[in-house]
This record gives sequence, C-alpha cells and structure tokens, in this order.
Amino acid sequence: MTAFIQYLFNGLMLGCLYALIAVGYTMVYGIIELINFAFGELFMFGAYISIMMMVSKITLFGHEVSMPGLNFFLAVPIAMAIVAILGVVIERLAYRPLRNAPRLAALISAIGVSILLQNVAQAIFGSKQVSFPTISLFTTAEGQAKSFQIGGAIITWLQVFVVGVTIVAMVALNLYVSRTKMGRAMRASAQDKRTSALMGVNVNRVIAITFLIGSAMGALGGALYGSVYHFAAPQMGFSPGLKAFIAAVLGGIGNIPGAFLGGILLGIIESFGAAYVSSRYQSAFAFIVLILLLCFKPSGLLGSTVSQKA
Amino acid sequence: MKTGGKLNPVAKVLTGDTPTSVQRALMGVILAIAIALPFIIHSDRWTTLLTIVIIYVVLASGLNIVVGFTGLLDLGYVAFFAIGGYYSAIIFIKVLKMGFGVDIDAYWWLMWVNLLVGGLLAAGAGAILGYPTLRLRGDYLAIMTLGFGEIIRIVANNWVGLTRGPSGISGIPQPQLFGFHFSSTKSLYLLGLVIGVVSLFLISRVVRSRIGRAWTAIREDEVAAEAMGIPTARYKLLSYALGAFFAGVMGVFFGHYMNFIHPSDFMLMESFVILSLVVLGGMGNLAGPVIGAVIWVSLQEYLRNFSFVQTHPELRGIAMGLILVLLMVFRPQGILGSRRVALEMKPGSAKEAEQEREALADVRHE
Repeated sequence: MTAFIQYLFNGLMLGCLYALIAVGYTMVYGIIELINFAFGELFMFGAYISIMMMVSKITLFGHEVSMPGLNFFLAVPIAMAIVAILGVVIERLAYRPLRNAPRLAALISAIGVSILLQNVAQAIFGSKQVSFPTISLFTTAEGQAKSFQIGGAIITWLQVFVVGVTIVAMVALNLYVSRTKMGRAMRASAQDKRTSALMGVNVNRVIAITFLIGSAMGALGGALYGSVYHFAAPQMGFSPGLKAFIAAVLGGIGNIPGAFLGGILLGIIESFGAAYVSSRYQSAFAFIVLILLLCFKPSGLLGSTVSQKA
Repeated sequence: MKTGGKLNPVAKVLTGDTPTSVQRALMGVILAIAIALPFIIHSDRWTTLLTIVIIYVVLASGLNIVVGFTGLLDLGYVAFFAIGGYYSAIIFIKVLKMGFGVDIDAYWWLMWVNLLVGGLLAAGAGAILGYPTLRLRGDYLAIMTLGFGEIIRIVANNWVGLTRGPSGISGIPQPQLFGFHFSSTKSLYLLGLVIGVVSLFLISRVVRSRIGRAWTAIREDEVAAEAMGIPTARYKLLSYALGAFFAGVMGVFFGHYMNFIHPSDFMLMESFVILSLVVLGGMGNLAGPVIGAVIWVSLQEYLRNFSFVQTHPELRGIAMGLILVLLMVFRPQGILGSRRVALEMKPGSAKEAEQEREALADVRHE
C-alpha cells in the first residue's frame, strides 16, 4: 500500500509537469492545427533560464559569466517571461509565414525549430547536464528535501508545490479562456479563424497570445521539472514534449481541462507502468496509450471531434 | 527550373514525367561515372564516403515516398533502418552462430534473402504503425513515428538478450557471393551501388505508376482524392510500407557493410538528417534526395577539417534546424524541386489559398 501511494503521488506530480506542456500543445493545435514540437525545447529553456537566474556564476559558450543569483520564486517568472517572448518570436518567424501553406510545411518547420533550439541550447550551455540549485524553502538545513509521510509514502513539499502550482495555473488559465474577452476570441478562432476575423477578432494577435501563454506554461513546467529532478540538459525536453502531446491527445486536443486530465492520467500510467511492469520501458507506456487511443477514441476523453478530419 | 518550360533535364526527371532520351543519356552518364569513380579516385576513404552517400540516398529516397510523394511526415524513419540492420544481425549472430553454433560463412546466401526479408519486416512495421493514423490527420503519423523511433532505440538499448544492448552486435559477416568476398571498399561500394540503383529504379517506376499518381493526389488534397474514388487509406498504408521497405533493405546492407551495429547508429538525429536530405534536395522528386545526400555528406566531410566544428557537434544540428525552417519559409520545394510541389507548398497569396479552401469546404459540406 505504501508503495502504491508513493507511485500514485509520483505519477501525479509527473503528470502535472506533462499537463503544463500539454496546455501549450492543446491551445496551439486547437487554433492553428500545428503540432509545435518546439514546446519541448521551450520547456528545456525554462529550466535552463531558471538555473541561470538562480546561480551566481554560470558557463555560457565556454566562458564563465556572473549571474544575479535570484530566489527561485523570482527566477521562474523571469524564465517564463523570456521563454514566452521566445515562443512568440518563433511563431512570428517560423510558423506565421507558413499559415497558408500545406500542413506538411509547417510541421517540418516545427521540427526544424525543435532541432535548432535543442542544439542552440547545447551551444550555449554545453552538452553536459547542469545541476539545478536547491530551493532553500523546500530543503532542510542538512540539504535533505523537506518531506512528510502519508501511509508510509514519502512526499516532499516540493512535489506538493508542483501539484499546487499546476492546479492554480490550470484553473487560472481555464478562467482566462472561458471568461475574458481574449479567451472568447481564442475559442472563436479555434472554431473558425476567418469568421472570427470578420467579427473583428485580430487572429494574428490571438495566435501570438496563445503561443505566449503556451510557452510560459511550458517554461514553468521545465523549471519545476528541473527543480524536482535537479538538472537541466539540452535533450531534456524531447521526451516530456512527446508525452505532453500524447497527454493533450488523451484529454482531447483543443481542450484545456482535457490537457490537465490527460497529463495526470499519463503521469500515473507511466509511474505505475515503471513500478509494476518494467522501469526500463517507461517511455513505451505513453506510446502504447497513444496507439490505443488513436485506434479506439481519437477524439480523446473530453474532446469533441476536432481531432477527426474536419 | 526557370527555363520557361523548355527542358531542363534534371528538373524533368524530378517531376515524374517519363524520361526523354536526353535524360536517359544523362542518367547513363551519371551511372557510368558512379561505377568508374572508385577506380579513378583510388582512395579508400573517399570510396567509403561514397558508400555512405549511397546509403543516405536510398534512405532519403525511401522517405521521399512518404514525405515527398504522399505528403505525410515520418519522423522516425531510422527505426525501419534499425529493424533491417538488427534483423539480419540477430539471424546471423544470435541465431546461427550462438544459437546453433554453425559456421555462418556457409550461410552466405542468407544475406541476400535477408535483404528482402529485412525489407518486408520493416514494411510490416511501417504498415502496423501507420494503420491507427489512417482515419486521422497526417500529423498523428508524425507523432507515432517519432515515438516509434524512440521505442526502437530503447528496445535496442535495453533488450540485451536480443540485441546485446549498448555493446552492439559485432562480427556480422561481410557480403559474399558464391565464394567471392566483398571485402575491399571498392567491391562493397559497387555492391551498394547495385542495391541503390535497383532501389531507385523501383522507386522511380512506382512513383510514375498509378500508385504514384494516387500518392500525389493524396498529397495535394486527400478529400478530393477520396472523392475521385482513390482508396486513400490503402494507398497511404502502401506508402508507409514501401517507404519502410527500402529502409529495411538498406539496414540489412548497412549491418553487413559495417560488420557491427550499435544502438547509436539509429539515433533520432539520423531520422532528422534523412528528412533534411529530402527537404534540402526537394520533396516529391526523384533526384532531390540524391542531391541532398551528396551535398550533406560532402559538406560534413569538408567541415571535418575545421577543429571548431569538430569540437562543437551541435553546429550540425543548428545547421539542420535552420535548413528545415528556412527552406520551408523561403523555398519549400527544395534546391531542385518540381514546379508542382512549389505551387502547392507556396500558394501565390493568402487569397488564393483561401479560395482553394473555400471551394473545398463547399465540397465537404455537400
């Protein structure tokens, strides 16, 4: 039972991290029907920039540079802002020119951006892992993670924080999309860009804001991932990015609560799969979920039929 | 391409028209040069490089079937290459040598059979993988293949009992034919050339056939293709399978060529390299992958002379990412590119694209 609770909670936390990236995928796919592969890389930049802001010295391009050494709670919003801008720039340069081109062109451009960012990160930060500084609030004086026990399972406060932040972010985002004017513009654009434009919606702006939010969420996910697993590496975004997309499909693409649900389910499936089946094939479970999903319920758990061919 | 309809031999080969006598002559000359090259340059290093070019050319041409001709994105193509490579290696080393303890040299003929079986195995995997995405948008194929590429690598690394994991499989026998050992780099190159030429010939025949026309129709508009009576699901499946087939064949050849395979031969990055070759040379035309592979391999070899490039392997990835994005934005038809692909990938204006979409929407609503 102890182990069960432990895996459940670990899965829940992992799922929250997936959910944060999945939101970007789901919003962007909902509006422009593009799989923005670069979200995984923006996630990675979120972790790196947080580290940059938190340490006092870091090696960039092989040169040591002094850094502000900010608090985690200040560093993460800065990282989110920088990555959000990066996301908007990417949309402007690599996707917007292709909006009327066939999907294949945009998809190839997206994978190109992903490869580019991953290697740029390697050029800037080096190919080796960079360790994530410990966060004093969640660490005891002896350097141990502060934790508590539920039924014998050890749960760290950092994990609780991750889950809490994700829930707050998701609720806020859902309110934003369902209650504000911009949110309404987003939903309208997702249904029909052309008609929305006729109704006075600035579709380009809506898409830019979607990228802004999606990238910021991805960066938040990356920063939290880095703090939980204590590292950042150029390739760290690939696998979570892929799984987040699967989570978005699982929840029903284009649906924000769906992305949250899909992320959490996928995290828990992975955690249990790794624990009770085989840890070496952990990454395969998400893929199996995707195959089953595409065979039996391609519209996802909460989705409408948007993922079907329109 | 800017010759105003007048024949530009290279460009015409690409567009999929039946080659004219001039083009046949041109291809003959290229083939003759390809055969003569190792005897002219007399350099093992360059001959090896040429063999690698051939492997890339066939892989890129196979991927071109899926990406260029059918218009679907396959991001895990190297997985099929791995299937071929591992299949033959496992048969020879794990089964024959270690399982039955026989002299594998006596079974030299099996490699030739394996070329076909490895290809068919990969084709089967391609079809199985593509099947769930048939009813859905092509984008899902990209995700499925991306995931599959990773799975294959994870299996190659972790299923030690079958693949020997990270230590790789060594001692894969060199190709032999009735006692003739393909042991010199020249003979291996020529063997690769034969396999390559046969593969390219088959691909060129298929894409110019009814099947190829169906693929092009799917690429240009799946709904319209379906409306015209093309069984799109069947043709897409055939495209996945045939694309994977050539990767499988080349995988078998690669294993026997290198005598050693290792999970790192089948990294995700290789899938992206192959995709870049297709995009660089020009999607949806036959000579595109050839041009792409020649440029890429020679560029890489040239850059090897610079120590800065050597110590910064990420430059390769940066270049590749830029190639993909810039080409898509500015020249989606690639270096050679057929006019047909150019028109399709880059509609004259947003208005034109909108009109096309409108017209289609009307069809769909009815």
